Amino acid sequence: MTRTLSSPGKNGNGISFTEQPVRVAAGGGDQEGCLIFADDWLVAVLVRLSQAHEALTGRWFLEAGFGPLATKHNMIFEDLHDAEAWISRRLKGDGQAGGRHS
Amino acid sequence: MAPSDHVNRFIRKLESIATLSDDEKQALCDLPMRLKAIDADQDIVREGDRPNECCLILEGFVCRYMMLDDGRRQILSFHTPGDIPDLQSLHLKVMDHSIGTLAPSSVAFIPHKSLHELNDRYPRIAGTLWRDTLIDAAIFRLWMVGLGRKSAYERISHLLCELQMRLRAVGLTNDHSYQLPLTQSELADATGISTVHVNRVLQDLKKDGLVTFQNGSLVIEDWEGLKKAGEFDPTYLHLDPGEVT
Repeated sequence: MTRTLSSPGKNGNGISFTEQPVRVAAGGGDQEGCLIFADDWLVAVLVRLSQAHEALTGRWFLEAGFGPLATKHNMIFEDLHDAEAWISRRLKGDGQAGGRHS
Repeated sequence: MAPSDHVNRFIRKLESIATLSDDEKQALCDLPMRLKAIDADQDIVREGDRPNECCLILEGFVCRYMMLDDGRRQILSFHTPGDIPDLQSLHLKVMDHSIGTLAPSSVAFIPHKSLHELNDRYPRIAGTLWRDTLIDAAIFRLWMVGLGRKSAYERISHLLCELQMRLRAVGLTNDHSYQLPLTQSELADATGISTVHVNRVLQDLKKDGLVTFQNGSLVIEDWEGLKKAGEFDPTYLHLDPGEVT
């Protein structure tokens, strides 16, 4: 199942995002994941943090980011919209700005 | 801690890697030391400093680290009671990294002048301190292999084995258990992975029956299993054969 998060042009950057739920064998009890496509390109794999992560439970961790999304920072997002906003900025070449990392 | 106890820890550390005569031990006991208690997360020496004394760790947990411009930190090594993490400052005048506490610690500052005099009078002690810095370099080599080539699970397993051996050599383990006052964030900065990955690895190590955590202590439930998981071979620590099991 896929769901388009924003249509081309709607968010002003002409990128269409699609999310696809997946199960990820991430270890430590984390298995709910989501593939993020930008205009049919796989750009990120996000994993929802399980209860083992205590205060971070339910947030989304950037498991893998490709191309401009590659980072050594520990990226954790409140929700998928938060993640999408960061991905948009990175894909538009907005450097390190706006990222939330711990 | 009685005044003699902290010197004893230092002597025990050196005796884990070399043999010392009574005269040499007395010379170590006679070193002038300025004691200081330091809270957690405080710098002891900073990158760029030109120290004129070395710090001997008496209690607590200390690390060497470097910071990148955007705030990312790489922990280079952990240091525990009996260690002198900045012994290199005796011969390298400018600190090329920082040393800070990770837990409330007490340290003893020993003037470089006194250490130089000690080394001049007791060449075997000089040799032992040199050996200690060479073992330091061996530990860095193994960390490099871990950071470059091992999985998160292997890296953390190896680190937990290393701390067991080093703490055991100075009498700070209780069988296969020791105080581990580190946060997941500090483990992440040492092993070059995210805090999320550290959490997952610790969950998996527990699930696999290798370790448990009890009141701030790490308990190694399966020593052989943990060594295998980290591909840990203690040769690089160059401990006295009696310390290696």
